[in-house]
Amino acid sequence: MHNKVTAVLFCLMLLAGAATHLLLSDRVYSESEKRELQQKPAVSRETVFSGQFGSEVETYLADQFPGRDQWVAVKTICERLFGKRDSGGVYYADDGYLIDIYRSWNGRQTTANMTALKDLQNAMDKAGIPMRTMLVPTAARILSDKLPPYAQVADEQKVLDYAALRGIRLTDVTEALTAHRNEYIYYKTDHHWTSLGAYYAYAAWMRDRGLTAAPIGEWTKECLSDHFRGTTYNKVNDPLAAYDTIDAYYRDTAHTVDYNRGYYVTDTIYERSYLSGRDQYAVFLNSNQETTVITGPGTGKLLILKDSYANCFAQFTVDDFAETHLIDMRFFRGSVLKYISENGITEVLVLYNIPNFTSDTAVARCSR
Amino acid sequence: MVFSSLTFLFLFLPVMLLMYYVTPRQGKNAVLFLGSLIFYAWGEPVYVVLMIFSTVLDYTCGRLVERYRGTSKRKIGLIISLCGNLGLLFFFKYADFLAGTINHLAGLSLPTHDLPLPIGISFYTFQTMSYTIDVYRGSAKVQRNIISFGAYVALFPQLIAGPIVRYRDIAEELDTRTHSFDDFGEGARRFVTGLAKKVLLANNIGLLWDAVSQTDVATLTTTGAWLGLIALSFQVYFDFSGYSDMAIGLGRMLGFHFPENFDYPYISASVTEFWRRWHISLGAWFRDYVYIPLGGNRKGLRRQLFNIAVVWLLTGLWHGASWNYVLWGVWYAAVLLCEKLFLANLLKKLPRFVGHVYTLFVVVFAGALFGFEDIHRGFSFIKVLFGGGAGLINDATRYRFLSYAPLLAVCAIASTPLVAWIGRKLFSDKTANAPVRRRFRECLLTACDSVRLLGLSALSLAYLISGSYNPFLYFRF
Repeated sequence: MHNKVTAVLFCLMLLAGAATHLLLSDRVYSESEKRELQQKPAVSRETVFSGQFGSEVETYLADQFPGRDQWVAVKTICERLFGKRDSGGVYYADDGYLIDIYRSWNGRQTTANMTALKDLQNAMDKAGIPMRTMLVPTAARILSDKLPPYAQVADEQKVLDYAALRGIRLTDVTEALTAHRNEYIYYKTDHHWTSLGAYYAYAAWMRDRGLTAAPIGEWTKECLSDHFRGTTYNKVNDPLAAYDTIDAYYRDTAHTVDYNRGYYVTDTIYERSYLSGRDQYAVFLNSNQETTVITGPGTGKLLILKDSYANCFAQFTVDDFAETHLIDMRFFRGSVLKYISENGITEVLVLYNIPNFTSDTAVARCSR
Repeated sequence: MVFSSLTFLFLFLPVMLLMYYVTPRQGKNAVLFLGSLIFYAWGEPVYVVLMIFSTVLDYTCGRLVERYRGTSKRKIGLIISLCGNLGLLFFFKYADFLAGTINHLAGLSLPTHDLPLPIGISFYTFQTMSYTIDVYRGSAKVQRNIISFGAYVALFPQLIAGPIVRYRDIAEELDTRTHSFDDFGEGARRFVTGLAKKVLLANNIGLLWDAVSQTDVATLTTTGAWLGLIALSFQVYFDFSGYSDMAIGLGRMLGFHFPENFDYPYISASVTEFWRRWHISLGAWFRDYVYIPLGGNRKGLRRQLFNIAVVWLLTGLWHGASWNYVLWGVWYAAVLLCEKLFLANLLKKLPRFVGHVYTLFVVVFAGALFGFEDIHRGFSFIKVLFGGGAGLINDATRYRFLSYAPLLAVCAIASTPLVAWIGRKLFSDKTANAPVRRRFRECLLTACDSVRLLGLSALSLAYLISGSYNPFLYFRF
């Protein structure tokens, strides 16, 4: 009986696997992996003889396997039970934090970016426009006590020290963030900081400018989402991962928000349509746009050269200035210096997350 | 195609089994032959021609040997087979290596062909040679049906990674074999066990070795290097024995009984014992077709030591065309000769525990020779093993150890007969004369085993499917 049962079970497994494949229709796109899935491979003489057909069939079967995301989840759970402390470039940290692994930076790119930044700062000094640079440390640095024991992380302080050595005027937010590390300043499943984290950085920036930030209680806090799972989650697809909350902080003021020179104009910096999808952090300033101009009730014109860390940071500056401009160097092809003079910019802030700053090739164009 | 792929599990195998079992007896070998050719051609669409060539060659040679039996021409078939197979193997596996070595030593620039190595060529050439030799020696009957012979050579279960099934091992089953639920059930269990060994243990512990071997030796610690080697030892064992299990299991499902290939090698108390338990079919091949024809142990100690050295040089080269494999063979030859001369007697006097530690040291260390085809990297790695690295231990080593400790423990347990022993204890039939309890026991066994089977299959599947999990993080910033 034993062998009969085994034999039948085994055949059923094979048949079930083969049959569900035949019966179910193929998916085109995976929302959790953000990529097109392999479709039925085409047979041709070339693909067969080069072996490409064979490997595409294997990818096709894996990509289109029924319940694919659940299978991946099973694997992740299994790995964690077996004591794996990182997976897919992510540390499983304490308190449900998933923290991106950032072990080393590209020295050459960092130097090139620093040089461009210093050139820009010199030009600003000459023009009498105040400029500061904020390089935001990662959760791996600020929440290092949550990392698994002996985890290897890059020494981010070295990047900051190097910037200071090059004469770049820094607003160092490490201390401000570290002081609040027990608060919810980084997302658990995303590589960004939260709006609260951005606020503490904003307060440090205000202090460096000789001003005092208003207490956070003066902003209206609204929970935009309480079921957010971000990029870090997508890397491991850990079904046990927590859900993050996205908070908005705003005041009762009117704004116009102009994306990419009039391409899309609206009256709010929150693009709520993203909240129903996976990439919910994009709710802040409509994901990443080339140029964004936000009008507000304050005075002066601030330019933020930035990566996505600035998207939630801008919530706090929009009321201080008459215009807050944001430029994303990855998409911006013009001259920043020209942009500054043409738009009458009165103050500049460069805001990058350290891993981005040390790897992004576009920063090197900022002094052109 | 490999067994641990979704293509094999859910495309090839179901179709193959279905075709095989619906075809009447006299057509089964043809189905096997054709199916096996497709199996091979899937990954090697061009080189399948080589395998067909080897098949036809030895089929013909076997017939030639038979035709001229008892005459002075009887050797012709044998010589053609040896030259053909060894020539094929030499050309594809060793020609570039030899040319490269000569170029390096003599400063010449002999041309190399840079062709990729045909999958399984080391296995099937050895198998087809064994056939002609056996026919020549009279220890196997000639096969007159080329389809049946083709089915033997191409037989997909053992085609790619063994075991090296000698023709005489399955000669009878090739023509007359029976199929039963018992064989199929046993085979399926064996297959799933092998799949789990490969996908769950070998692949994952292999990640640790990858991490260690890719670490710059300047930052590698002694503990880290040994940790990596232990991981490599487990990886190679579970990969290879898992593949053999799958092969043996598939064979059983098709009515064949292949010889065993591994017998818990890591519990050995001497290196001689280790090699009786590791890749048994390869050892048997070299014993039957090299060691014994050279005179084995019948021509005095000096000749025996020479024979052992020859066998190990060849065994090393068989594993790969690179100097590190030669060194690996030399290492084992040296150790085995020592054991033959005095070490075995010494070990007998010491507690068995000492033998275990010594054997594991020899075997794990051999991994350092096996694991690096670049001999310079291998040597600098060996230096680290004996203290020439970045100290004894560092945080990276601690992190790796903690990350892999549970898996290492599972691998260690799975390398011993412990689990099988517990299973036997729990379900052994001591109550044979109490039919009710016996029936209950069998139900319990069936239930437990079904759960194990489904569990291992599901986990293996989860890892196979996740293999293509590759999130594209274009919205990374």
